[in-house]
Amino acid sequence: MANWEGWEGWEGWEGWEGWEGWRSPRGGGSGGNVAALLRGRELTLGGQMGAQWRLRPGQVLGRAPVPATGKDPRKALGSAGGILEVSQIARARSIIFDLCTDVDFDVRGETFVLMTRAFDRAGAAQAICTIARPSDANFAEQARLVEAWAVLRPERVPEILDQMDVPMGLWASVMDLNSTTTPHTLALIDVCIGFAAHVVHRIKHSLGTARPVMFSPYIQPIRPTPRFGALPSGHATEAFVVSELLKKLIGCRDSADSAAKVLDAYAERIATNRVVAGFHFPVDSMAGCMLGTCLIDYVQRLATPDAVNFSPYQFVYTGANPEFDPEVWRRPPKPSDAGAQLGDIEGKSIVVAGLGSDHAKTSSLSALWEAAANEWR
Amino acid sequence: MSHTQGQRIAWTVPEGRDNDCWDPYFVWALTTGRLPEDDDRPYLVQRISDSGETAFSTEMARLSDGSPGFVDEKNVVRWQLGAPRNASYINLSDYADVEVRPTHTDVIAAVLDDGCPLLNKAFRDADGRSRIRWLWHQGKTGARRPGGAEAGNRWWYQPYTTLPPGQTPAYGAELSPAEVDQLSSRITLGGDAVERESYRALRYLETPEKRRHGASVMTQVLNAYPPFGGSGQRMSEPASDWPLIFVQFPENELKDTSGGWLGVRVLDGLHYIIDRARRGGFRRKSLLDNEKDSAPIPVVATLSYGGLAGAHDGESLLEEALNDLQDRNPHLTLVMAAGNAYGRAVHASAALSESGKVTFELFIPPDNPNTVFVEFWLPQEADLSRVRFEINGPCGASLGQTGSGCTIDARNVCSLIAVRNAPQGRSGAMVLVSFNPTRIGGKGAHTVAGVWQVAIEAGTVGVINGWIERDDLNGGLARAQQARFLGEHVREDMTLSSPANAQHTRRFVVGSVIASDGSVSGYSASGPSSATFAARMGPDLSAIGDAARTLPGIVCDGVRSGERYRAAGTSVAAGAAAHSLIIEMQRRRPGNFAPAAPDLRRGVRK
Repeated sequence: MANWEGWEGWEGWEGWEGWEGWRSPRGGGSGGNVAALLRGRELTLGGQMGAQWRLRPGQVLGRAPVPATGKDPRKALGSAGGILEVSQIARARSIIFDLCTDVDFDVRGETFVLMTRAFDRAGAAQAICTIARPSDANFAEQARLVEAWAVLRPERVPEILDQMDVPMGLWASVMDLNSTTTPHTLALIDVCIGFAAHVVHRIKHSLGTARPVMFSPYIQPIRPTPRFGALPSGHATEAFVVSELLKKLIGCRDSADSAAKVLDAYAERIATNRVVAGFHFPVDSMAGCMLGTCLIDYVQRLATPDAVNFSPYQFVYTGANPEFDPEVWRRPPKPSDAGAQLGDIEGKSIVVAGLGSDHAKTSSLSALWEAAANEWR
Repeated sequence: MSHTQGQRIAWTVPEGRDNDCWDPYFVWALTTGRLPEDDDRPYLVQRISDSGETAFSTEMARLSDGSPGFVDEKNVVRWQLGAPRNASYINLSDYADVEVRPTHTDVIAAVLDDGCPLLNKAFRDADGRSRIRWLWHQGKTGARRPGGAEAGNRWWYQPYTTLPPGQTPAYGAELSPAEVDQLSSRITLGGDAVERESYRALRYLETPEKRRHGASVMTQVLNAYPPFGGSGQRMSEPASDWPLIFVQFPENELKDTSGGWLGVRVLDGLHYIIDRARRGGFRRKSLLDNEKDSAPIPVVATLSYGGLAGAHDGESLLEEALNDLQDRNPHLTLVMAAGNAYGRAVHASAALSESGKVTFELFIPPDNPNTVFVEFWLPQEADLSRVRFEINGPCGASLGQTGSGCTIDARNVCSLIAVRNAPQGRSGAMVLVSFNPTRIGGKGAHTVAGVWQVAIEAGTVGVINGWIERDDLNGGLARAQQARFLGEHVREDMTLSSPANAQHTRRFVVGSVIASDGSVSGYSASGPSSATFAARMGPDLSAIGDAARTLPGIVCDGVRSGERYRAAGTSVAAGAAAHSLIIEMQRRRPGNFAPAAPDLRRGVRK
């Protein structure tokens, strides 16, 4: 496993350390016994590498990655087949890079605007979603709810601790997720969670919202409070990323689908458990739910541009529903509302045109999405 | 910032009806859509006949025009809603009763509870015969006798009684001694697999871990082991074995711990017990000098289910019905658990002034699938048209104030219903405040969990009492009571189980004590009753419910043979008290073995 150690640092935000570690066989087994290889090679092949040992012309002993073609470096992994033939870690990093370099953001007043250039490479960035920072008064009120939910700790602590990392065991218990028959689904989950992690932390950093422990001496979180902003909740974002992605892959038509109900319920529970633990306000879960759902809609739009449309999301907490109800926050707002909201902020059209003609950047994602979706057909 | 959901508040009862004689829970169910209009519902009814005689009965009624379709409404004094019964009264004249082998005894025990482990070998007499003679399951359906032709239903039969209409519990299904004996005979030494298979065949107690309460009470009534377990020997001799009639409450109703169903089920259950004691094959074992053979055999019935709310004045409809039943059946002794509400902060009380405002604080727990009901009992003098409630919750949640024109919202978060002459007591007017479940994703709007304030202006002097009804989760992954009062008005007195406040010479309300030091168990509910006359000071008796502070509970048999576990509470204490009472009653009988009765103590909390 020594060859993977360097990978663990980049996403080492609280709770995420383990998310790529649960599938231990990934990439290459024991590379540690160099001495054995060295000695074996010397004793077996020493002095015998003459001309008679050369391969025949054209003969190769493996498959190289598909090489970059054209001038656009983003086409390096542009072949649908190519992206599926590099290691999972390389694939995830490449696609996450593509996704991250397509997005941009702006902060207007108290509102974070997440934007993309993927839809129109020559034109202006367009909105993916906006997240307005709730007021300090909102958080002070929400602290009362965190106090109330703390009474559930005795019955929920085991699962709270289990969910410190991405609880892939939980998701894999709902449907048959495994590295043998659904490797591409697992890879796509890695990609989406990785992308969401970058986005969510940038939003947290911009909004800089407080944690419940700062509002009440009675909350007493069950572990030290993470040292970064609370909203949106990373766990809520990640949970809804996974549940929404799986729902799309297995073709859930609506929330009445039985698999959708179970996936929704677990996403809600993972988010709420962070409130029970004292790390988050319910409003953090709301923003995370909206963001996770939005990002999967966005990723799906990039991956399958001809199949689905995308409408921007917005998060504005008015205090009308202080408890976290996913039914409220998973649905995109009506376009007219979103238009008004985003229009005020951006002064630009938020109407999403079709994808531009340059699909290079998203073809890797499309290939992975297609491979993952095929695992459930 | 305000919370806009459910700002409407119901204050009045439905149009065109007198403000008297309503069950607030019925109004709540009706106005929140929990009571479909085409639904047959049982009611516990108190009537006064033209000749002035009071009678209590359970009846089926169908809603018509938003009110229950009583046949003779003018004679109704009070009535209380029950849970749907899934069966209507039927004409039983076609039925023949079942022939049973006689059982000779001087006392018959009865238990009304949640599950009867009838196949457990711990409940057999010296001859190896099951001590359970009759089992009435109120939630099952049974085949008709004779013949039992209903496919797949070999064991359960519709109960047959000779009670007059209105007192005829002709629903559910029963096992007679014939079925019990036949089942028991299959289970011999080491017959664990047969025992499990037999419960499966009965479709009964298939998940015993969810329903052990009945077994624990039955253990105390029939066996009563030493509190520390010891060798596991029973405290009474097998020669003193007495038979048992068991009434099982319906499964689906047990999940609703607020217990609105309890009145109907308990009264029906006791009628069944009295009838079966008379006609169920029981024969006198011994006679006192002046006793006739035809005299009814004494029955000691144990009830340990109950609620937390009610006026606690001993004058609820159920309590008066029980008094009436015991007056008419002097051979019936009733043992009731005092309840486990001490220290749960489910009662609050405050003094009112004519112009002042009283504010109660209460905690509404999160992720609760049950509605939380809070009953506020106003003084008799209170003028309901002047009473004002203002309810505010966390995060700016406000449910506004009462006033004219307020109606209930079907998606209500909270409702307020004010009724005089409620069936839960006679101590003034009751204002029922209900909070929707806090679990998110259910039907209707959810209530925001957390601390709520209920501010009340009563416009009169006196005392206002509030009680929070049970909201714990019963069975399976149980969760303890969580809704509770906070702050200065919390009281720990007047916390007896809702049907256990009345006094009767043959009723024993039982608290729990700790065996090792004789102190009252921390949870054991406290009197007095709230009535100013004929007040009950507290439990009549206390029996052992815990071995020691470091060893809660006492040894109980489980559902399956050989299974033992510890259970704590006034429920098991009530069972132990019933055991002692039965021994005392047998002691008076010539020729009976006279074992020492387990410890009983005076039960008033100091």
